[in-house]
Amino acid sequence: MNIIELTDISKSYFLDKIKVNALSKIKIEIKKGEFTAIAGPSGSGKTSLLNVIGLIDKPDTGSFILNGKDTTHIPLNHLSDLRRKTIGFVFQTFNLIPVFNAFENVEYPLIFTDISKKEKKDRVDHLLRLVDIPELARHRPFEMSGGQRQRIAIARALVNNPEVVLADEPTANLDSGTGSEILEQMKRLNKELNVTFIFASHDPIVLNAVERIIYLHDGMIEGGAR
Amino acid sequence: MLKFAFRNVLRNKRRSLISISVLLIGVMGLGIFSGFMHFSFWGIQENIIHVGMGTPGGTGHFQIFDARYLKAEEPRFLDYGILGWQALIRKIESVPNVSFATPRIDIMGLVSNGEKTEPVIGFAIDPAKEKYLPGIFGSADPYVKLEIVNDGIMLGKELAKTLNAREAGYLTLLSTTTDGAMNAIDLQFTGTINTGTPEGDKRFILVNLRSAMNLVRSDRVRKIVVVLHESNIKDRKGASKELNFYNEADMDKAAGVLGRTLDKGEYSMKSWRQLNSYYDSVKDIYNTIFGFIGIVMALVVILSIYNTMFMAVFERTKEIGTLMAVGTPRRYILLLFLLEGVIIALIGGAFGYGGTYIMAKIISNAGLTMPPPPGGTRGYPLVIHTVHWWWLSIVLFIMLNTIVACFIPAYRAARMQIVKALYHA
Repeated sequence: MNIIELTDISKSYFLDKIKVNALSKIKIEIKKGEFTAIAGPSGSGKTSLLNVIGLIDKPDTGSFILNGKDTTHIPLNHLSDLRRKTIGFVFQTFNLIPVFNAFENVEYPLIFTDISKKEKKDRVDHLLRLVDIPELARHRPFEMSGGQRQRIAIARALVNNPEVVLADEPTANLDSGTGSEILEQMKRLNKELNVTFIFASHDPIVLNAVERIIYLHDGMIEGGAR
Repeated sequence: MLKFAFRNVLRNKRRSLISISVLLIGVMGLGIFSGFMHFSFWGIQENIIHVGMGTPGGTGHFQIFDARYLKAEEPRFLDYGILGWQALIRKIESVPNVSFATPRIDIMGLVSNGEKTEPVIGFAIDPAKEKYLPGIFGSADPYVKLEIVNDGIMLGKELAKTLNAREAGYLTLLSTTTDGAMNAIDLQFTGTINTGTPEGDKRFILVNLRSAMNLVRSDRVRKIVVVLHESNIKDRKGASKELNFYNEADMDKAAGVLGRTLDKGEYSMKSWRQLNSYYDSVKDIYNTIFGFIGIVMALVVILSIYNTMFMAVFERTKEIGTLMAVGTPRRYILLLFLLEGVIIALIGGAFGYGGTYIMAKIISNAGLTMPPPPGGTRGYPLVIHTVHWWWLSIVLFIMLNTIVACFIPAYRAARMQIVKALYHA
């Protein structure tokens, strides 16, 4: 079953009045549970594509069906619920809330749901154990290493039981050892939870770990799956 | 959300402290000024009623006149005076809120020491009652001395100097009788009066009612001064219980009760405020100044808080993008920043309120003296009244400005494009 179906997606930006075609006629189908990377050089459109898939940016043309729901004509402002329920984000710079501790950071997306306080706590505790840092629950981000922060970010991405986790250069700010550990952990979670992982990266650690790579060049798909 | 907002306020402590300080200064500035305004209004009111302001002699709370006197020109002096005033006073004093009523005749004439003659104005009074009028606002000495010496005369202190008046010496008071003829009586100088105004000190006299009646050859009095019982009418809102600061509703109520006891059409009544426009003039000036200061303070608060919140939004742009990316509704972002503003406003308002109270007590107990007002000769103590309702209104006003100032940055935060916010450098 396809969790993501992109058809003829195009997106352009204006940089100093110059039109830049970030994505051109992109057509991709990704199945549930895939562990996939979007690869390509800087400026190839990886992040733009990830933003469209993550429902935080709208394409100029084309259609996007996410988990069977056609999102093409839904305005961006009305997508926050769908985004929260369906997609988890992992960012290159972790993007944790500095005034929250690890537990609160992971718990944050749940405050917009109506699940009980106990269930929230159980879910967060479970995820902190899954990412192997239950002892850091009360620590603030500035008290953690980069790897630990990224694990918190992964737990936050998973807390709403999303269908898809999007990770934009998740290893770029980590040393290679930590990057590999993080990737291993994500792969394990992918198998255990059957969550689809999509990376935007050109890091060999990521590209060696994924099952499929979609190559982009100048906003167009260049190659097929590995 | 409250926890999140509170932690965000504490995130940049120095900036929050500056914002809170601005609010504190705003509240304290307006609070102290409003306390001084209240003291001034009260002081002017009580001085007009008890001592006299601008003109010597307290007005009392009300004055009763023969109705014709306020409508038409008198053919002759005291033609429209009050006859049978003793009975009328007894009737007025039977009204529960009335402390006492006392008769007066306005005197205009000449005082001579035999060598020098000066034009004078003043009152003929019943000193046995009038001595209760000044209370804490002025000295009862002139009235006490007149009470002892039936044929006494008190002079403004400059007038006494001009006439070289000596205690127990005699002066001649000349005036017209009700028939229009000139008359003179000899009166014993019993002392000087400090009227509070240079003009009053040069021209003002006090004499006994009986002496004046002999002089003008009349049984009538010009007016009856009515003084309300201080403890019976207070500001019922409790804003100034200890001050006997009559609000307009209380005065209207007292006027209503008093009016019903008077014979309709025969007498007219005027309140202290109608008798002396100085109070309303000062009030208008103070209110204008207060309004101007309020606008300036509001602008300072708005600009300061706007700057603080704008910087907070700018610095947290990436975080805002993250919050929205993980599914935070835009209205939550808006409310979050507004709540941060409210927290700053609450802290600033609370400290401002407390600071105003402490500063008001310090200033009031410092023994500071204000210079004499324009046209006056007496300074007065600087007191800042504790006016909780006014201060609370100021805190609410400042808080409202804070929220207004927060709205634009908060709205901008809530309207951010997620992608632009996320990749904000």
